[in-house]
Amino acid sequence: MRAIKILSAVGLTVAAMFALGPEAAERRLPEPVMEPPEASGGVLVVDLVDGSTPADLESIGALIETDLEWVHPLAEDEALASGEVASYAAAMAALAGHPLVEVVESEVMLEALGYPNDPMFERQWNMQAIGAPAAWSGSARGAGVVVAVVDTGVTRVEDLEGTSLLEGASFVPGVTSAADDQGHGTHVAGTIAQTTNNGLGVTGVAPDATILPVKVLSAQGFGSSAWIAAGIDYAVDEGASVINLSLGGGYSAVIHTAIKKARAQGVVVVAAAGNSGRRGVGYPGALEETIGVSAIGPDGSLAPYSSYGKGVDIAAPGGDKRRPNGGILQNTVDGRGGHHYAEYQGTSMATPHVAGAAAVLLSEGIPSEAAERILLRTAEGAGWNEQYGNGTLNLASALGLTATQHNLYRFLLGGLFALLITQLADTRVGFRLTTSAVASSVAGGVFFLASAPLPESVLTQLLIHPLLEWPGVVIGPGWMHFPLWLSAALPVGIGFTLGAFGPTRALAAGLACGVAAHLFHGAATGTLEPWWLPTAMATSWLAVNGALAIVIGMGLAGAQHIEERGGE
Amino acid sequence: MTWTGVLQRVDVGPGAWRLVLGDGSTLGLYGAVPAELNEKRVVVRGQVLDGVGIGMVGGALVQVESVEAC
Repeated sequence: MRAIKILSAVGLTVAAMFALGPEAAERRLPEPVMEPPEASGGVLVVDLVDGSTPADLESIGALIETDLEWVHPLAEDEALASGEVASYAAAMAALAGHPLVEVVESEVMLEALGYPNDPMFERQWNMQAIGAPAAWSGSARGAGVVVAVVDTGVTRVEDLEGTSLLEGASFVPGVTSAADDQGHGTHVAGTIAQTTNNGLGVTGVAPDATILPVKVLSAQGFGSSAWIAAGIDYAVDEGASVINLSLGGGYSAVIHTAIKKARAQGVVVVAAAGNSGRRGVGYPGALEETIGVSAIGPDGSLAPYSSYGKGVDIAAPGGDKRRPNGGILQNTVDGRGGHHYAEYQGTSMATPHVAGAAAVLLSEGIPSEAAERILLRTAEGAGWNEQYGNGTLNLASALGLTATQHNLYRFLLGGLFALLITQLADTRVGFRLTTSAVASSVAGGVFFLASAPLPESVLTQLLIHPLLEWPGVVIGPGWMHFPLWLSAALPVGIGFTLGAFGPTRALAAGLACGVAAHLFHGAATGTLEPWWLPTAMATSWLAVNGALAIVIGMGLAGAQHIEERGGE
Repeated sequence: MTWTGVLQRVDVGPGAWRLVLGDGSTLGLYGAVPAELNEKRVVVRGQVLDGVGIGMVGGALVQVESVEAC
């Protein structure tokens, strides 16, 4: 009977915990520091001054004793080159202060910071502005999330070759294919999920997201309300979790109804504020059910063409072509049967940044309503105003808050598991409290110290991260996904060693409960992705190992009970 | 229907056309618009559309049938 009461209490508490909004503080993200990497040599990326000639390239290469080559033929205009060097430190020293050299960086260093090798990335000020590299450096890249681009269609141009792209459908009469006959839709799709880190072209916010092309706009860029509404309904039926609407006009009841239905299904609907340059947000961006997006330029101020006013929820980079490289650069069709890398500007371009960011959060296991709240709450700004809404999109901050929220849930879950099993085993209070403290710290890390003024060191990182994330800290990103690490192996090993002795048994029991909490949380949210295992098998793996870890914890608590009673 | 105003090419997305009417209100134009009439005073003949577009330059959307300088 007591066990049932405890289980009920735990169940209610966990349910309440998951219903909480994200209230936790933003986690600090490491500032990029440009220093020579630890590796002695490798691929060096050299950014020469624009207009540099092949002869310049050769002379620079001679200085560092390597054959420098343009990163990509299309990158020649940007004078971005790379070559293998024996020593990073020596090469960087040789080029320091050279008048033809703007930047020298190692490919390894850039990758570690989440910087991709796409040669035109340096022109994408917009990706830097929203903190997209913070997403790329981890696993938060939109995997498994379908984003519907309800637009002029999407064509698989060269820099969408590696992107997951569904067949989609057309709702424009007389047009059977969802391919793009205009250029707008492909550009928008590129901002969301351009193939990234492929050594080609440019990047997208959520490169692992799946794009669902929904053609509702003609080659002229216009679509009737009925086509749009049908396209939105289709996107929902096809499993889209995010719908991007880089379009607008007057109010339409049929479009509004379709969007309401999408929202009722938990779909995040993002829409452009409009390009009137005046007060007054267009529809559907002005609807309560959509995230209305205004546009900023490279300097962070509202772009001159952007509409503003009631209905703007957030601002995002839409470009300002009055400035050099001030537009949003993506790969799209050129209208002559080919493709090109084109700078566009508009709230149409701002909107997919938010859609991509939503996809990133959803891929981290955050429910849609919480994802929307996080995006708006972490936007940079001082309260709502009609130009920027809640502020400017910041994906890095949104991910920081997401990580904090996950850690909070795990922290509480680990402690609850420990309290439950030690209560059931009727151990002494000291054992219960120690086990719970260890379990919470193992499951969530001492995450609330992330904003404390601690020294920047590996030890600090280990302190604030959950135990199962330690390989990512010590070895490198991704290593925490080794399946044996995401299992009950460690609790079993510690259980039969430290758990055998009274003084260290609470540590072993707490570790088992903490690991169990993290594995269960990972199974429920999809935030743990053990290598080699398909999604369904990964969930089972995590759940079974979580259960095994709990059994280990129960066994240790039982052993403690016997020892305590035996000693009386 | 016909409208008289100043034709403007707006650099948003792949480009859009706007007609600025005498009272300062605007129309978003879709269809064939002669580029050489940019910034000229013109008469636009066309139909008001029920729908949305990529231009979003403000005001009602019009499917252009003809544009003539005046």
